[in-house]
Amino acid sequence: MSIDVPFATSGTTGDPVTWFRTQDQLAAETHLLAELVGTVEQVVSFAPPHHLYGRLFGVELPRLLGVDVVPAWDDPLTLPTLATDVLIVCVPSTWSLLRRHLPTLAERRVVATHSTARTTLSCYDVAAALPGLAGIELLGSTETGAVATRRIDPVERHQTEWTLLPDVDQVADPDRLHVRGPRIGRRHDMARPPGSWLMPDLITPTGPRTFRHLGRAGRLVKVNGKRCDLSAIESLVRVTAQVEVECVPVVDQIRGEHYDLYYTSETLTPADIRTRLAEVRGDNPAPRLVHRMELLPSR
Amino acid sequence: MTEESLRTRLRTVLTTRLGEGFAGVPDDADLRDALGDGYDSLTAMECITAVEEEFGVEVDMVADDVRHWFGSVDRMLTFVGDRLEDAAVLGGPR
Repeated sequence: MSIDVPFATSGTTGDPVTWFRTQDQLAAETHLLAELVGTVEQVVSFAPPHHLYGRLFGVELPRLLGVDVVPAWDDPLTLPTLATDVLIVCVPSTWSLLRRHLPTLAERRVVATHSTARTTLSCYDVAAALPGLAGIELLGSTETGAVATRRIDPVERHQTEWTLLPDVDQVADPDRLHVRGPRIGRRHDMARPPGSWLMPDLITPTGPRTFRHLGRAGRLVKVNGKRCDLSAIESLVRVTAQVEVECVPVVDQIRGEHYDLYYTSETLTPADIRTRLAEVRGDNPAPRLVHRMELLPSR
Repeated sequence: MTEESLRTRLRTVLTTRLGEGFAGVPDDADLRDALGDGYDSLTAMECITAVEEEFGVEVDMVADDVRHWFGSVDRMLTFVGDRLEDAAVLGGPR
């Protein structure tokens, strides 16, 4: 009997949600990814394996290819010793590290994957400095698995077109990524996977199976790939600190995306807010900066 | 450059990244203890990059013990001061 594999996500409302994937779904996705990656002799993974992206590239793919995997997700400041033919599994912050090691990378055949959040300037700097780099960006979610891919292009950058993976179809929807396919997971309260899934990603179709990505609906940011619902953070701060609060998304050149927290209070310092939020935020990322204001930005 | 002007420049650079909560942090305080989750390893990386850009020094993430040297303002000052001194001796200060 096949045992389904659980993956926790914050969901789109900030509440923890578990999604299950069957072994067959994991195997199907791993084979798709293996075709994209090609032959390597080592995998260095900066993506934690309890998330789907890290599990696929850091556990399932090395197993399928029969190659060593170097776990690097606990130490984002250190580049492990690399083999000659290496796959580096990146989260946004990894690119700042890679940029510091260009001579080492230039001596190797490097395939680098990026997923979970917006690419950074460092990502494009590395791609521009290493013409031989095979950079693969993946778009997906815990709910759907990978749905689309594109090359990391230092010239076109965020304008580069996405192409749906072969087993994914776009449901007729001109503005949102709304997909169906055999790899959609099953939420803990579902008897079976849904027939299609509406993702928060806003798109413009450019062809039957291609699109440009415009942004994300709602107030979800992905801090170094970790989902964070800003409305949920604001609610937590209001309850725990009894202050008016507003979270604002910001582009972050290390983590891809982040958020700043603004609040009003005559007595509580930014450190107080951080401390109180830390007690209740669970797995949600801490704010990048905490600002005390007389008036909130939107008022 | 005097140590005091170096200290002022360094604190200005760090304040830009660490926010107003950094203002009350003493120079000898451990930044991880003082700022909690406001100084995680990725924030340390941002501060390292900012210090490199501001002072024209280079930090080797492997050879330099970055967790030690970028753990407090005082230690950063020592690190940057030494690097600037080395650069001056070699004829390439900024």
